[in-house]
Amino acid sequence: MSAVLLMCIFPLVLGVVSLCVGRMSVPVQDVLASLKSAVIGQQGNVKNYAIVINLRLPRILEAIVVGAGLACAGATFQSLFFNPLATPDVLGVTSGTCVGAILAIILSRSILETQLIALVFGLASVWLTLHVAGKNENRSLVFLVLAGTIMSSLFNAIGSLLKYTADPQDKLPAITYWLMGSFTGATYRKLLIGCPLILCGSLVIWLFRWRLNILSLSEDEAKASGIHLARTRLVFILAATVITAASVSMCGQVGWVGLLVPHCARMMVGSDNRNVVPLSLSLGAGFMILIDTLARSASVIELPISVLTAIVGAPVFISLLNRSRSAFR
Amino acid sequence: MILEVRKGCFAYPGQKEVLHDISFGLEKGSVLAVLGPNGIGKTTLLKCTVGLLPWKTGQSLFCGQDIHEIRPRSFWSRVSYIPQTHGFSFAYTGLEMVMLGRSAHLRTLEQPGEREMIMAEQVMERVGIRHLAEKDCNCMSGGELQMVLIARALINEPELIILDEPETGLDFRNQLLVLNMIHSLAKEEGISAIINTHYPTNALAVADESLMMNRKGTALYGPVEEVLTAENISSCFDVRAVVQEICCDGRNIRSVVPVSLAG
Repeated sequence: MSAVLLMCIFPLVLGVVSLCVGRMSVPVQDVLASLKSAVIGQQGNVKNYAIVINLRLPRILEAIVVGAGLACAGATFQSLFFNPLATPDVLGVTSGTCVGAILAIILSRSILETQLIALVFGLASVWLTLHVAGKNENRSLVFLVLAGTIMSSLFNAIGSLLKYTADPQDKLPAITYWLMGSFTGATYRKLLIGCPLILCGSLVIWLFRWRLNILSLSEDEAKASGIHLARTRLVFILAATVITAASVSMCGQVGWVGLLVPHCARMMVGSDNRNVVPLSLSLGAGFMILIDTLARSASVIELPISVLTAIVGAPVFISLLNRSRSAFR
Repeated sequence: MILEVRKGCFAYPGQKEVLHDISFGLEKGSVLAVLGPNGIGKTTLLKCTVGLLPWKTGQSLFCGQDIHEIRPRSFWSRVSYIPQTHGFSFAYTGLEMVMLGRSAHLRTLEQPGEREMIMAEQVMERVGIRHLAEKDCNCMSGGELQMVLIARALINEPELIILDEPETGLDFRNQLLVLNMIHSLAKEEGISAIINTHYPTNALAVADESLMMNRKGTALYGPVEEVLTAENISSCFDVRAVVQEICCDGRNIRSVVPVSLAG
């Protein structure tokens, strides 16, 4: 019980700290006052309110949801594919979503339209992957991963082609920045499109997390546990890909979280997904807040998210690997 | 009759038949040993028998009912399956692994809780592996892992256990531990078992009946002493084997020794 409380408090505290930090630092009591006035619905200090509630809060909420969602999706795919190195992108969702976004930017659509088109492309790419992999009953996991790799490289090629034809004066930079990932443009309206999907996906995974343990055994053992194998897998695949597509369409590519965070969780509590999933949600949210705070306050210019996650993630991951080689047979 | 297979035939897609016209029955509390050369389809037979693979023709009946008519969760809460030992992608502890065996009894969104935890500890105590509760399954020896898998099968409170080569790769002591466990479960608690084995001696020690598969695509089935004779084993495995009877502590133990290659 206290562990659950701790897991909830960790990202919240980080979130409040992050609300204070930035180009203009706001004292904690002013942040709390702004939050309070936002909840009650009355305006307090106008400048603080603008910074905390209108600028920083949506970013931080987005970071929390995206970080938690991607970490949870990563943990899911790792158990599902018996592979500790699986990431949320295995089934080609990310590249599909990116193609949608590139297309929308080339067609000069608004930010919200870009997000929606990217989301639709992401979900369509998973549908395609599942279709390529074959019928429900005899869809083997190897085929699924192969199909994911194929779709992923196909979409990457289409993405490159689109970039090649894009106007290098304004479209190409816009596309490049979008692909590198950022929470800069976070608004409550963007959150309203992406968050419900990520929350639903995470809730499904959280509710069914015991079954992830069963799925990580061999196929025969999973069947001999009395579960409907194909159906259970499909539930997890859909939940995890919806999360990924919604995240990428909201803030661009965010690497590393889906791989790094579940591993940290496993090193802390073992492999039982009853603990790994909740802890991944919490650590993912915390990690993302940290990265976003760095992104907007470490330098004069805003740094891209995917660059930071890799720069911070790689050394952390290497040191974790060195410390516990036994976790990887 | 707890389990019955009627005229089962099976072929992998696009290949010729591996199992041809297999029939056998298993009473409550009895043990069936399946023997045969490598690659003859022993594991396939076990999988078909419990519906992990579909019979091409023929059927399996569990307590008189076709197993495909029984809801998977209710079937698997009465039958436990232990595959050949292998590694696991994730480092579950002994206790977590044993609790996984309870899955068929849990409702859709239910997770094992206090009750299952206590059950797991009790069953591990009974199998004599309480000390393995916190040990990583990927770091266990073959014997330890096999006992964990048996505990995982028992927490299910099954009426039938299917064991695929449970004693392969184990030392003498661990072989005896596993075989005695199978024997006492059958005789004292009435839990039937089907085991695959490469050792006729072990089959003679623990089984009531035997099914021996040969390269001609037929199978010998009957009481274990009648099936596992020197001639039958010699012709089935293409070796010259002798059956020796040893008297020890007032027990007659039969041992099968392969003497030379046939021909």
